[in-house]
Amino acid sequence: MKTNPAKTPCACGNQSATTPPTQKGFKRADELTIALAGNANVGKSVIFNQLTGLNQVTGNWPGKTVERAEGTLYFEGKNIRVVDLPGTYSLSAYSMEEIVSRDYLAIEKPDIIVNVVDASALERNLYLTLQLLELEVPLVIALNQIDFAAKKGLKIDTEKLSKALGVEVAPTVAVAGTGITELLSTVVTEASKEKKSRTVQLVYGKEIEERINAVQSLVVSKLPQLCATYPARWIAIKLLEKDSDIAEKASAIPDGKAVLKRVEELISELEKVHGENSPVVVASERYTLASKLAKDAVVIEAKPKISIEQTLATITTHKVLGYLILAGVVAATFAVIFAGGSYLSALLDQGLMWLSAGFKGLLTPVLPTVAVDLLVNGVLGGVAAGITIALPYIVPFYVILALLEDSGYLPRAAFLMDNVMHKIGLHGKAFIPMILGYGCTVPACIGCRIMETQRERFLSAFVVVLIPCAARTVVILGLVGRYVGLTAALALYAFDLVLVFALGRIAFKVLPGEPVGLIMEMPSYKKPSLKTLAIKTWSRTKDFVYVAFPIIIVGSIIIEAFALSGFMPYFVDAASPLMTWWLGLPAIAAIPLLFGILRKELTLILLATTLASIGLGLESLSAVQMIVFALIVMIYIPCLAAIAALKREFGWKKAIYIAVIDIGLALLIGGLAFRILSIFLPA
Amino acid sequence: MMFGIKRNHEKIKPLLDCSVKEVSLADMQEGEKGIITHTIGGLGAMHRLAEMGLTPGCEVKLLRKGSFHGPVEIEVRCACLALGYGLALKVFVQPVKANANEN
Ligand SMILES: Nc1nc2c(ncn2[C@@H]2O[C@H](COP(=O)(O)OP(=O)(O)OP(=O)(O)O)[C@@H](O)[C@H]2O)c(=O)[nH]1
Ligand SMILES: [Mg+2]
Repeated sequence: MKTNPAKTPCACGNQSATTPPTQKGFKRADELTIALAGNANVGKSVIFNQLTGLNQVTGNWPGKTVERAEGTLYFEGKNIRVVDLPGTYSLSAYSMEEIVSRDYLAIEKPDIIVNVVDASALERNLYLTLQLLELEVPLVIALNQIDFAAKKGLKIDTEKLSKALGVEVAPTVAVAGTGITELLSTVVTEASKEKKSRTVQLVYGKEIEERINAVQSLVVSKLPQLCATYPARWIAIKLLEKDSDIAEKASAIPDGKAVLKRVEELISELEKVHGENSPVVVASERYTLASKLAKDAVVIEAKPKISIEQTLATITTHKVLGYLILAGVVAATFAVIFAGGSYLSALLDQGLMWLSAGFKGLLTPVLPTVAVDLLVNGVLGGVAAGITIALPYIVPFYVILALLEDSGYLPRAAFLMDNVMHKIGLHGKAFIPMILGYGCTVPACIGCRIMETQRERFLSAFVVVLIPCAARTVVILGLVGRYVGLTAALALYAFDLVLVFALGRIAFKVLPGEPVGLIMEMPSYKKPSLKTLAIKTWSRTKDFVYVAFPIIIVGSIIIEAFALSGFMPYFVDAASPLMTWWLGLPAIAAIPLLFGILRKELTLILLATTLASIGLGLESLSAVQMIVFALIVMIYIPCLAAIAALKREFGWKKAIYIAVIDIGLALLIGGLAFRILSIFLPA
Repeated sequence: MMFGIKRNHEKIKPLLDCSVKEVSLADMQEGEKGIITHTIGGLGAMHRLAEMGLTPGCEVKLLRKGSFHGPVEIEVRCACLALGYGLALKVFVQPVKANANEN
């Protein structure tokens, strides 16, 4: 019975941030919208992927999904739209995301909200569940990670939990696909039921309930406009919690001021009784209830079997050992990628050389020489370069990155680096997008939303674009590593880190401000599943091939055509002051650098093809030239896709700022490096 | 609005032991447990801490401290949480005697 609905042929979908609101009145009976809500890192996206067959980012650290994603599936005659929401711990007005989430739930009203709950931390998770119940939205609970809870020695009586909450509870193990079909059936059944008032009422302490009721009746009589959108009891609780968003909405209504005045009196009474701020009082009340519900529902408690995970957590965050391990992880990553990449690259190179010679032999009798050159050197050369230069370094990188993401190491690295990140006006969490930046700048920039404020997001993105992504690693390892030596390549990475912190420090001075402190849930280490790793690596590789290869091929054809047209000498003349005098590079290297704006690995591929078009190989460059070239590629303008991501997150102005600063910096550092290195490394 | 409140521990008194002095989370020893008495700071920070489960009366265990005023990692409500040093200074706890409650 445990068929995976993702395997149904009808699972299909797309991702988008903007959703047209469901038009309630015209909704068809066979259509259903469900939203996945829950704390961070509980398994929402794994469930989403299971349901829709899509590939939302998953991994073992909190805050991966930063944007609503959508997909559809077909189940029991119904078209189901599934919405994956970013993880939240609460629905207060504390962050923009939480307001957006709660407004989505309250205003766009999905038919059913699936509250994904981590069974191994029930108490903490129920805090959000209680808030969803306050919001009076139709709810089904997916009690996920019951396998991990069992490992922690916890077993949960779903029946009891369901009764206590008055909500259907479906146990699941999302990673294994267990219980997903049952969850879906529950959702469909719940959705088809007539709406009736809840039989279970969850009440907080006496003092607070009295005041909630007082405010509620006031809200019903004085703020009917607001009650049209939100439940009256919820508004009452939010007002008592000093929720700025709701207070603002209330004060816009004529009678609102009077209501707020009365609320203020009630708040000060409450604060007097409890000796705490009202938001803290309300949070405490919810936690008291959550704690009681959790205690009642957890039935068996065996000895936890997670000592290996805990030992690993201890040593990887150790004051000394932790940093050594971090350095080791980084060094090992580059060493593996370099060794694996060079080996694969050489292997593929041979095969393709043979292939290209074969093609040339085949085509020459039937086509004119120009066409053969365009096809073989342009198209085939481009593909070959893509396969031999880029893929061998990129694929191993993806594997290691997936390993880091899924194991739970990233939050530990963030913990270790919190101190250092404070020096550039950020906190530890910003280190996570930085590590992701070694994979690809685009998701890393978007991942900067893990930071709490707009200022911190911008600062993080500013440093993230300077982190050499996998494409730049292709250039660093494939050129400097291969021809100059691994030490030189590693020195470039080290230099980059110094640069990142120096610039981050300057940016911090320009945009001063105290960062919000670090608060981050530390998930337990988990053994990454081979299947997830494979799927992740494959889907990233596929994206890379689909996006990069057409650009590589077109670029190669253009350069080949350019060489055949005889324009090359004019271009060389024009570019030579900057390229030759200032940077010490061959003037034609300007061509690959220009194309590199499209994609960074293109620079190396096209450098090879451009040099080939004048009868030279990469090895004809001097060590200094290679290093300067790699330095420029590492620093100058993020590729178009990254600029687009920056624009989306921060607007055109800031995106252009970053691009201009980076180009200037690259040229400056390139020229200086040429002069300094020439002293030590005479050609 | 902080000024109007007279902080009292009425509600959690039964959990506290008057003979023990309260300290901030950052001053606790690794492996030590304590009961939260109150938090200080701006309303935003206090609310955020409370929403992450750090409410008065709740038991926490300090798992580890980062070097050079680094963050602390605590266990609270069956989950682990990393808190920056600045925030750790804002959470006050009354340490629980080590042998008093072992399970
Ligand atoms: N053992 C176990 N691990 C699970 C289960 N479901 C999810 N996970 C793991 O939990 C981690 C988080 O899963 P995600 O789906 O990415 O979490 P999310 O809720 O989307 O997280 P955010 O997007 O960060 O809010 C991943 O490493 C999963 O492999 C489960 O049922 N059992
Ligand atoms: Mg997610």
